[in-house]
Amino acid sequence: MRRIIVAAVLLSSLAAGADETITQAAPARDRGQVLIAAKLGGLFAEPFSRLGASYLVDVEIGYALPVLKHHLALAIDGAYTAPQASGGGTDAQVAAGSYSYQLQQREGILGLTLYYRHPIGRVTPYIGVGPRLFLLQSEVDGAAGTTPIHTSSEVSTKAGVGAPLGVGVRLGPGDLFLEASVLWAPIDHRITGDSNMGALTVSLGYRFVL
Amino acid sequence: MTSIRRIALCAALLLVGCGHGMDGPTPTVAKIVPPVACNQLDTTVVITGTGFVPVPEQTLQKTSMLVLPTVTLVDASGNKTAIDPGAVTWTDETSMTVILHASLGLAPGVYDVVVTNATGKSGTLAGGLTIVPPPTLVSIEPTEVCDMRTTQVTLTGTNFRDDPATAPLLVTIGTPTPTVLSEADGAVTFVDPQTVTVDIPPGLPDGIYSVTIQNADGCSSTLDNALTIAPSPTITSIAPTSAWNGQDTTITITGTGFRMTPAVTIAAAGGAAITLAVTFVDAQHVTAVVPKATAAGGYTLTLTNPDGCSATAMLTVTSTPPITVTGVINPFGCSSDGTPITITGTFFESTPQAFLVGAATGGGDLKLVNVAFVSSTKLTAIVPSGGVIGGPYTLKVVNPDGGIGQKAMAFTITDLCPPVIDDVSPSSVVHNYSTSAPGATPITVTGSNFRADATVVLVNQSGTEVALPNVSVATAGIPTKLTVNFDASAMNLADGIYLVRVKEADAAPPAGTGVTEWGDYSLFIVTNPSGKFSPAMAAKPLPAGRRGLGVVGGQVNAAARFIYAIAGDSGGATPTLFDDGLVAPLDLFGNIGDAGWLTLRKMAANPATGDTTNTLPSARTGVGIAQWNGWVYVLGGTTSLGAAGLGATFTPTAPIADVRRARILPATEAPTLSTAAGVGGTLAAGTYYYKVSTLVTAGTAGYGANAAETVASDESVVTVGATGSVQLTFARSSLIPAANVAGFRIYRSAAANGTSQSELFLADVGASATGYTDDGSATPGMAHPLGAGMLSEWEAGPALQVARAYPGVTVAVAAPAAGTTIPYLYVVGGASSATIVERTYEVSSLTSGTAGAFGPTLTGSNDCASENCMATGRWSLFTSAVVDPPSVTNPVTSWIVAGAGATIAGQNLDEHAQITGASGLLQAWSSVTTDASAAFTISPETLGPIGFYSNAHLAVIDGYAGMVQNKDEFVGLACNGTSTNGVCDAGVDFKQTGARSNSNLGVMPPIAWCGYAITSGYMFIVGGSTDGTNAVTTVQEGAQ
Repeated sequence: MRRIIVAAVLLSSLAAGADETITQAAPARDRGQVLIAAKLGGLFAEPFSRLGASYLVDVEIGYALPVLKHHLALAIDGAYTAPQASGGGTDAQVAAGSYSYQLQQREGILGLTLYYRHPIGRVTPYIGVGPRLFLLQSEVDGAAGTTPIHTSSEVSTKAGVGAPLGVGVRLGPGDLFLEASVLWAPIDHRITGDSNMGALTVSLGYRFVL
Repeated sequence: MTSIRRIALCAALLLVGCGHGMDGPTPTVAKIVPPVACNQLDTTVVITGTGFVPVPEQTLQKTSMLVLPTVTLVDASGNKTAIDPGAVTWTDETSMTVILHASLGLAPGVYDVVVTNATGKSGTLAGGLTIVPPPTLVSIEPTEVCDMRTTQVTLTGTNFRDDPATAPLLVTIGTPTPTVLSEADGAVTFVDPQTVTVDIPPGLPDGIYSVTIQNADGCSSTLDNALTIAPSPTITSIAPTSAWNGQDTTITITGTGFRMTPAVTIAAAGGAAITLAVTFVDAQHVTAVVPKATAAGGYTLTLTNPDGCSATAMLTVTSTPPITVTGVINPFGCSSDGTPITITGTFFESTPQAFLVGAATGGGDLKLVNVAFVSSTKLTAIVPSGGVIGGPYTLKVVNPDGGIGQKAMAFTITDLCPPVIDDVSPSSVVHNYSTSAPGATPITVTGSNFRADATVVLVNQSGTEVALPNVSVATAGIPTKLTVNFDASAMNLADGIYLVRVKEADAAPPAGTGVTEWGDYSLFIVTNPSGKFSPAMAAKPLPAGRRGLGVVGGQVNAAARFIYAIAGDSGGATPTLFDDGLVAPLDLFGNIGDAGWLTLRKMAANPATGDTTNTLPSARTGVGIAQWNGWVYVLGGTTSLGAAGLGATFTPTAPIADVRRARILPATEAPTLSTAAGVGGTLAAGTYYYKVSTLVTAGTAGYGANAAETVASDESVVTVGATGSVQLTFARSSLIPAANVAGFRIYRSAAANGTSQSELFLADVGASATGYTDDGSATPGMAHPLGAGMLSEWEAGPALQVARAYPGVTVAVAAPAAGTTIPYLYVVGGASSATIVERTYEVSSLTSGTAGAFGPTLTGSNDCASENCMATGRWSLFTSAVVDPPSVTNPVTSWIVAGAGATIAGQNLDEHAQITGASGLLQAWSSVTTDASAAFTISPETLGPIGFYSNAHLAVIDGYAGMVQNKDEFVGLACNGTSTNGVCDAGVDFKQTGARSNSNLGVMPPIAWCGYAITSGYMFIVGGSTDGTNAVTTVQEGAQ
C-alpha cells in the first residue's frame, strides 16, 4: 500500500509538472531553472546496520521553482550503492560444522527531494528532504568449511526517506557542491533479517543550472 | 505529454511491481542411496544431485543462520511429508544426508523426493525412494537342531527382502555371543519374501534361542525361543541288550539328549534299515519295539533325533529268549490258597512282574504277587488264591525293561492243596535200612494235606526221584501224619542227601486237574553203614584265613540251618586274634548257600551309619565250641599266643576260663509285617522291599544283657505304581512279651526296584507303634536287618574252673535209664598255661536248656584227686561222644572219647571214659580195646586233628606233629558185649572192629587246628593251618 501511495505522489507530481510545462507556453512568465547534477561519494551504513561502507553514485535532475526567487527546487535522483557485510556461524547440520558468508546489499535508490536553496553570493547552501524508493537486492554466498556455497539473492523494494544537506559554490555554469545526506529505509529480507538501509552519505558533485 | 505521462506511469508501476523475491540455483535430485528404506527404523539415506544450496540468513542480525535445503517426500497421492530439518545434514551442494526417522510413520510405498532450497527453488526425483515395511518372522522349521551338524532350517514370514547389493540378509541366533549368519557367507538363502533358509552351523552352545532375521534395509524381526540347539544324542545302554525274535520285543534305550520323538532303526551290516516303533519316555529313555521275526544277528541301532543328529549302539537279535524261565518250585498250588513259589531262570532284573497266562478268572493273566528279586537267576513270588483250576499254565516273567521270558506248562492250579511236610523222623538212615529190621522204626512224616493216595519218594540232589522199594504208606485217616515203611536192604540206596517228597493226585476233573502234586522236605540223609564220608569238596571259603576257631552247626527249625565259625586267629609270626564270628546259611541240601559267610551282627548302635558286629568281649583263639538247644557256647581259649612250644608252632600264653553263649535268634520271634501302597508322599514309583524287627529292652531273655533286636520279619514286597507312599503294618511276635518291646526298626530297600533282601535301616518307631508310613522323606541308613541265623549278643555263661586253651568239647546225651535222656556238655583237657596241659575235664548239665555250672569241683589245674583224670594231659585234642544212638527204650551207656593232643612221647593212646551218674561224671579213662584186646591207637600222635565219632566209627584226620600230617585213621566200633537192637547194653564197652581204613574224606591239603562240625549231613572242615603257622580260608565239605 505504501508503494502505491508513493507512486501516486510521483505521478501526480509529474502530471503537475507536465501541466505546468504546457502552461509555460506563455513567455512572460519565470520558467524557473532546470538543475542537473551528478554526485560521487561514499555511503556509510555502520551507524545503522552491520553493513559496511560503500561507494555512492547519484544523478539528479531538478527544477528550481520560479517562485521565491528559485529558492525552492524539486529534484529526482537515482543513486546506486552496494555495501557489504560478512560473517559466519556454526551449524551442526552442515558437514563442516561451520559456515561463512559474504553479503552484498545492492541498493538502487530513487528519490524525490524538495530543496530549499538560499544563495548567498556564489555560495548556495541548501537543504532538502524527500521520499526514497529503495530497490534492494541482497546477494549472499559463502562456504562451509572449504565447500563453497553458491550465490543466492533476494530482492525487494522499500520506501524510505532521504534528507540531503549541502552547499554549492558557483563554478562555471553550475555549482560545485558538497553534500551530505541521511538515508533510511527498512529491509526485511530473509537473507538480511529485519534491518534497515540507513546510512550517511557524503558526496561531491556538480550541478548544472540551466 | 500523454506519452510522457504514460511512460512515467509505467515506470512507477514497474517500480512498485518489483516485489519481494529470492533467487538462486535450482536443485536437481539425481539419486537416493539407498533407494529403499524400512519404516521400522531410522534410515539414513544420501541424496545426491546439484544445486543443494544453503542460504545464509539473518546476516545483518547479531546471529546469522544457514538455511539448508529441505527434503520433502511425496507419495503417490500427493501427500507430502516434510523431513525435519534436523534430520538433514548438508554435505555440499551435490549431497545431503537425510535420516528418515521411524517416527515419520511413512506408509509403505513409492515416494517422490523433493529438495527445496531456501530460495524456493526445488528439484524432484520422481519415485526416488521406496518405503517398505519390516519383515515379520512367523515360524521356523525345524525348531530344533543339534549341535553337532549343519542343519538347514526354513524361516517363514513376510516382507523378507533380498537386496544383496545394499546389504546381505542376516539371520542372528541369540546365543550368548550372538551368532550372525549372512547371505554373503552363503549361510542364508533368500527364497521368496515369505521364505528364507538358513544353515545352522555345528558347534553352537546348547540352549533355546531367539532367531532374528534382518533385511538389507536393516529392519528385522525376532522370534523368541524359536530355535533349540540340542546336544547330540548318546546311547549308554540298551536293555535288554539282545532282543528275542520270537516276539515283539520292547527295548529300552538309555542315554542322553533324546528329543521327542526320535527315529530308531536297526540295520544289519550291508542290510536295509528297519524302522522301529518308538515311544519317547524322556530325554534319557526311549523305548522301541524290535518286531517279531527280525532275523537273528548283530545290528547297528541308530537313534536319530528330529534334528537329524544320531547315535548308534549295537543290538543283538537272537532266536534265544534273553530272559529264560527254567523252573518253578513247586509247579502247582491250590486255588484256595496262596502258593509261594521259586522261579529260576536267567537275566531277571529287579523287579520283574510274573503272570500265569490265562489263569485268571475270565481268561486273563493271573498276576503273581510279592514278586521278589533274589538274583538274576532267581525270583520268589506268591501265586494268589483264586486262580482258575487247571493248567499247566505258562509262566511269563516280564522284566522292567520289557524283556519277556516264559515257560510253558509251568504251573498247575489244583483243586486240592498239595501236601506240606513239616518233619521227617528219623532224618538219617543207612542205605540198606529196613523198617522191618529189629530195632528199626518206620519213617514218620508229619505235615498237612496228606490224603489217602499219598506216596513217598526220595529226590536226590540231581532232582531225580528215587523210589523206595516195598513202600507202604499209611495215613491212618490222619491228614497230618504219614507212616512210611520200606525195605531197602537189598537196594543199597546211594549215600547222600535227599529230599523226602510226598506225592498225591489232585481231584479228578471236573473239580480238579488230576495232576500229581507233591510236597518236599529236606534233609533226609542216607548213609553208608561204614560211616565213611564222600570225598571232601571245596565249599564257600572264609573271607579271611582263620585257625584255632570254633565251628559248629545250628538250626532254628528243620528248614533253616547254619554253620558258625567263631573266634580263632590269623596265623603267621604275629597272629591276630579274632573276637568276631561268621555264619553261613545252608541251602536245601545242606550245602553252604550262595550267601556264603556273613559276619555275625547284632543290633546296630547307629543304624544310620552302619552295622555293629557281634563280638566276644575279647579276641581269642583255640576255643572249644558246642551248640545245644539253639545256644552256641564258646569255651576257654587263649587271648594271646606265644612262641613255639608244647609240640606246636605256638603256645597259648593266656588261657582263659571264660565261657560265652549266644542264642540262635529264632525267626518265630520276628514281628509280622504287611505293606500296602498309598497315595501322597514322594516315594518314587517302583518295587520296594521292607522288613521290620522288634527292638527289645535290655535283659530280655535270650537277647543278652543289653538292648537288642530280633530277627527281622519276612520280607514284604510292595509296588508303588506312581509317586506316593507305602503303609506298613506290623506287630510283635507273641513270643516277645509286650513289656520287653522297646520299639520297632523299619528297613527298606534303598531305592525303587532294588534287590530282595537288600533292606537298609529306614526308621525307628516306638513300642506302641503298629504302623509306619514311608512317604519317601526318610533316607535309608547303612545298617541291615538281622537275618535268620544271627546270634544274640554274647553273654557270660558259667565259667570253667580251670582256664583251658584248645580243649576238647563235646555234647553227649546219656540215657541212663529207660525214658531218660540227659544232655551234658564236656570240656576236656586243654592247656591251662603256656607250659601246663590239663588231664582234667569239666562237665555241665544242659537239662535246663542252657549250661549250668561246671563240675566236678576242682581245686585247680590237674586236680586229679577230685575226679578221674585222663592218663595223659592233652591239648589241641579231639573229644567226641560215643552214643549210638541214645535210646529212649533201653538204658544205654554213653562214652566220651578223647584222642590226640598228647605232649608226652608214646602217650598216643586214645582214651575213653564212661558217663555215669546224673551229673555226667566220668568213670576212669581207659584205652579203646581192639578185637585182639590191643589198644586202639592212631599214629603218629598229632595236635589239632579232625576227630569225631559218627555212625559207629571213630575217625582221626590230619593234625600237626612236627609238620601237618596227611592222615586218615578210621575204625569201626562195636559193642564189646551184649547189645539190644544194635545198641550196646548198659555197661557194655565198645571196641574196635574191623581193619583200620580211611574215612574217604580226603581233606586236601592236610590241615591242623581247623574248625570242623558234622551238621546237616555234611562234615565241614573250616579254615585251619596247612603248615602249622599259617591260617587258610578253605572250607571243605564231605557228605556223610
